[in-house]
Amino acid sequence: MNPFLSRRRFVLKSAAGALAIPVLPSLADDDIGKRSVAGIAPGAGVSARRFVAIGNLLGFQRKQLFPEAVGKDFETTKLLEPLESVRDRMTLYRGLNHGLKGGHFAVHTFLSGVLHHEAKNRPDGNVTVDQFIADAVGGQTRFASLTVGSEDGIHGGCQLAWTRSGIRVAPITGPGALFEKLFIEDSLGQREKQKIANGLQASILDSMVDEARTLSSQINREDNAKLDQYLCSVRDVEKRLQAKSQWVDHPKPKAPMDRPADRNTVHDLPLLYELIALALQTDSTRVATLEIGGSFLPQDLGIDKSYHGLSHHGNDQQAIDELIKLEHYQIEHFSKFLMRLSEINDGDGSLLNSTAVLFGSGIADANSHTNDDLPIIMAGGGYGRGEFKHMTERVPLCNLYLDIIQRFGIPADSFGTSTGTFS
Amino acid sequence: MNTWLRPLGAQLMLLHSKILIATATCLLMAWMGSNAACEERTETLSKFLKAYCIDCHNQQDTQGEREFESLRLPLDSEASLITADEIVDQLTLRQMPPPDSDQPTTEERVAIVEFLRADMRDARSRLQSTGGRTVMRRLTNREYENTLATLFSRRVDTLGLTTEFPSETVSRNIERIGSEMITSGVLLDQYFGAANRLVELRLNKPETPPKDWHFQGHFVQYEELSGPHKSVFNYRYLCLYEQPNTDTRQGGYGHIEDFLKGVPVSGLYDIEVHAQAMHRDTHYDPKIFRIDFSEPFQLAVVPGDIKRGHIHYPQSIEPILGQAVVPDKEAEWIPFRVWLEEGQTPRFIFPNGPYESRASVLETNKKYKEELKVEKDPGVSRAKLLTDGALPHIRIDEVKIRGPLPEPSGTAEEIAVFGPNGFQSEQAIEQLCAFAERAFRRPIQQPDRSRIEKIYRKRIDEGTSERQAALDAIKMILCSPSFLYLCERTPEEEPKLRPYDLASRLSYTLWGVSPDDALMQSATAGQLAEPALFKEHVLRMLADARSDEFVRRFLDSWLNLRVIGSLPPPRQTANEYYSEDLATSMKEEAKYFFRHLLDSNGPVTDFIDSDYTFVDKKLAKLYKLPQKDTMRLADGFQKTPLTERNRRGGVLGMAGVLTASANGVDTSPVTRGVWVLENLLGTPPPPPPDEVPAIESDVSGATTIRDRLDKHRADATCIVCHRKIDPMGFALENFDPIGRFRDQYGKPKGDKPTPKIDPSGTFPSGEKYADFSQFKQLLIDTRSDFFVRHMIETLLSYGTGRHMEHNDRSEIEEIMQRVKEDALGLRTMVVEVLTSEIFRSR
Repeated sequence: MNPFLSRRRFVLKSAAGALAIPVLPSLADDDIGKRSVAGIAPGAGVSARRFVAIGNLLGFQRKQLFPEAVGKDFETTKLLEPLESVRDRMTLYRGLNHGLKGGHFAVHTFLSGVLHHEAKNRPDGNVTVDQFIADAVGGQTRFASLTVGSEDGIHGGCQLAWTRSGIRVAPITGPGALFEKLFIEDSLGQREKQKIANGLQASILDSMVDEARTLSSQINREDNAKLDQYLCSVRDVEKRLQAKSQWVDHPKPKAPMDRPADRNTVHDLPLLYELIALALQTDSTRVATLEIGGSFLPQDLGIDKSYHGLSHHGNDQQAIDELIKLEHYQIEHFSKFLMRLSEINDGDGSLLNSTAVLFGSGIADANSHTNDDLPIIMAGGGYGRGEFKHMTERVPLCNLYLDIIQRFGIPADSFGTSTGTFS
Repeated sequence: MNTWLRPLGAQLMLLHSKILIATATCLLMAWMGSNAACEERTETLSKFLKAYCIDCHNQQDTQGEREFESLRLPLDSEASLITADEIVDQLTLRQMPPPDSDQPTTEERVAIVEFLRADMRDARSRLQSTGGRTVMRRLTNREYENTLATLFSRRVDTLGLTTEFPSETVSRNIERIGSEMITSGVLLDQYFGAANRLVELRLNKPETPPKDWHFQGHFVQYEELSGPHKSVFNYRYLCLYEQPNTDTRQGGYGHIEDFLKGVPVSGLYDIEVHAQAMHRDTHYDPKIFRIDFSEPFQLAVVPGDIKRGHIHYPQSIEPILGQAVVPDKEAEWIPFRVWLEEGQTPRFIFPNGPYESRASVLETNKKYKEELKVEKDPGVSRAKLLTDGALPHIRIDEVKIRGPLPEPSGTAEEIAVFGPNGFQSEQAIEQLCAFAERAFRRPIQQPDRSRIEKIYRKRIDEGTSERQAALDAIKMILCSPSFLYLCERTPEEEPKLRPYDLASRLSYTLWGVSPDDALMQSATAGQLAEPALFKEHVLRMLADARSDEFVRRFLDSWLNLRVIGSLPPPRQTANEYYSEDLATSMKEEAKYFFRHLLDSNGPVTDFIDSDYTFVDKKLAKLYKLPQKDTMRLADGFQKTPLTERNRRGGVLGMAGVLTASANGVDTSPVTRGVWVLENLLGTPPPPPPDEVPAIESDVSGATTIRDRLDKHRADATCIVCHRKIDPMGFALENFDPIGRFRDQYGKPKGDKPTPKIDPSGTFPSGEKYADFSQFKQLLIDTRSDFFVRHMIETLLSYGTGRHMEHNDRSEIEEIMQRVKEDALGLRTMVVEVLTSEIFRSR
């Protein structure tokens, strides 16, 4: 018998013996704002790397966001005020961009650096950084990634996340749906269906191994390496299938609250952040994106104008003031989210230590609709240095993304339009 | 994708890292000498290293980080190759030895660099050798889809089965090299998902009686269009304003708002569209729309799926399902019969529509402000244009859909999979085994049968119906290695492929799909090894239109046309590339040219230079040929005579090759020169140092790439390679990144003079040429043996799925001799290759 096959059998057996998923002590911690999350969902490693990206569709007022002084002594601008409490845990960047034009029509490149209509012939299409990471680490959690956003607005819905094959990842559109996804079990029927599909795949895999064994005695020397590659792949699928099957039977974490009702994006924003924090804490996923824009209505903050209309402010002071109010609100809740993560234990550190959080926009100045000089904030996950970095020469934003990817231990030497790494 | 096809700034660097991998086989192996020669060469190297390097780079001293004392020739490991590579880089860049130590003379540097490179070349080909054997390879993604379409007797491109598959590894531009192809867990998982989807959607459809839908009104449009459409038409019309896939999407995809959920079940549907071409005779400046108004407007149907993305945007599954011309005078009913998958809704597109609707509306509003009597700046407002204007577009006011059309004697898929009577539970195993035989392209054996029986019984035991169990067994067959791999189970001691293996190899080479009945019959009869019969099959299959698959895929590999489209030119300066879909025409030109030589057994040297080519109206315009004024789009591709004044002829005059050898934005004699050396002559240059400074493009436009290269070439270590590369590219500077002729570069900033293009050059062997046409002549006069040999090698590699090695050389020379004796005919070459020992061996 091919020695490889016996080795493989051995691994399978031992894997089957260790089917139970380890429970994380740190994640059993019940420090969710005094709400107890008893028997919290099991997941993999403590301090596993995580990534969250928040993208706004209409940019931020750069004059009121970017300070003058670089380095650690940057001054607190109007829009940085809400971030004062987490100042040491973030880095603000100026001068990163994708070198693209198109205004609204390039906002969807925020996390990819590649225009959708030019993705077709690229090996990785216009895959976004979140999906790139999810492809590599997503198998370890119940959800490979969570994309939260709107299905309306001037861009026709959330354009934040894209797969390798150029497919937009449809967003979860409100706290209600996100809550259900995280905490409410699938129906028995759905689970049964999933089990049947998993069972069939397992039988097929068995058959594939069996055939490969027959084949290994018939094929030629030079082909055996390829057959090994094939069997490794089978083993990989078996592992994925095991994980998938486990999730079907494994209960979702207990809900720390009642199912929230959807109100509007403005008022739901804190709740969406809270649910994302819970998703990370329960290790339901390690990758999440949140889009703010499409359904973010100024009316809900007492401004009776359209967000997009306002963004073409034409230097009208009142319009700018109103925009600042909207942006201030968004940054304030981003700041609270960071605080929240920093309060959740994760191994020796906090969840913020293990989570790289990106906040920014694919549009720099909505007034002139330019896509260079993007506002970018990184926090947590080793990026919080309490600095303002102002690049005088253009640095591809994809270089930062590649850095994020590599810190996950994913062996990639390029991403999108990267020319190297940067942080 | 070729990594060196990047913006000019980075291309030298990338060029350098790329080519090394591609050097192995086709080069002279004369360096492989006797032991004595090896010792002598080790001696020469040692002398040099001792003199300049070993002081620091020895085994004792860690300060130098690397040690060269143990370096021996011939190089025998990846590690020693890396060391040698580093030495070459450092010497070329003059970074080592450090400035304060003894320096070798330029002659010494060049000599040792050349010397090491030759040894690296040989070592690489030894290390990469597969012993002249093809390594078991799986089907390419494309072959996989083709095979499924054949097995199921219906198009499968509407399912997008491979859209999520990892892209193929390309080795020396060929994507079917067994040793390089990768199978991963991700891919296997995808195979399972694809088989599941295909089988369930096509063989497990609920009985669905045909239904009629009739849509009138409530044609809601894309967000920004909705306002004017509501106010002006109250959504009475569905309007198409632009071609699909533009920068600023507005009206490129027309959907039916009341049919967003799509059809209930996969099937054939009749769609009738009441449509009219509006304002093709518009008095507005045609430049605003950038299309050819002398051609009738076209309407096409593509599938859309709200679950897969925005209904107004391009989606990953978008094959053209039907296409028709739209009448100008009044609306008429246009019928389409299309295949739609469950959940797909038809979307209408305007393939030859205006280039970008948003921009053209802005422009029209601005330019015809007075005429339209608009008061303030209307921007992108369409209301006035729709009521009083003459904006060219397609207008639909009614759509009827009927389906799924019944297939009374069983669906095509059912018959293809289970036979004329459909699934019969009492013959389930026989039917499944018969299907497996077609899927595996060989007779099935007892273990195959047991596996099929096993899974069938198991599923029934688990409580599924017999039919479901059979469908699950089919999924298993479609995930089986015997289906996914070209297994070649010929025993070790037999060098020649056995009949079934040979049948598959031939069929996948020429048709990209599993063998047909005739080929299988010959294999079953055991006669396929007979040279006369085998040749008969080769000729029969070449004469069949299905061999276009070979022509297209081979051109993707040989001329690297695969990359067209992956490095798109800027929309501002090359809008016709998009508005006319030139990428498609470019590939078609090469296909027609190849086909012509294949059918007429014309000389392969026509690929270097010819007094004709094949163009459609779009390329006639791009090439500024007189036929641009007489041709119609409906004429398709026509053989067109060329004179020297046309500056075309041969593949180097083809826009496709000129695009594939540029990077979209810039051209460079270096990338094009490497393209010629690598793809036409099979003599790729060695890799330059990884850290070599890039030749930056001069944004002011004041100096030409040639000026900057001259500076680079002034360095003795650089010129070693650049004297070979650059002259192969200078003549091609006359063509811009999408292959338009030019004799000067773009106007520089300021008042500097526009630099002229100097298309002359001198071959390393001393011959001079003044322009493109002399360059091609010189290639024929001095390099045609290289060209012919490389083409034969590429055909062999493509067909066998392995790179050619030293041992193949003598047969390649024999094939070359026979091709020469037959006036270099292309058909002779292809037939000689396919009937060769190399092709017919493992």
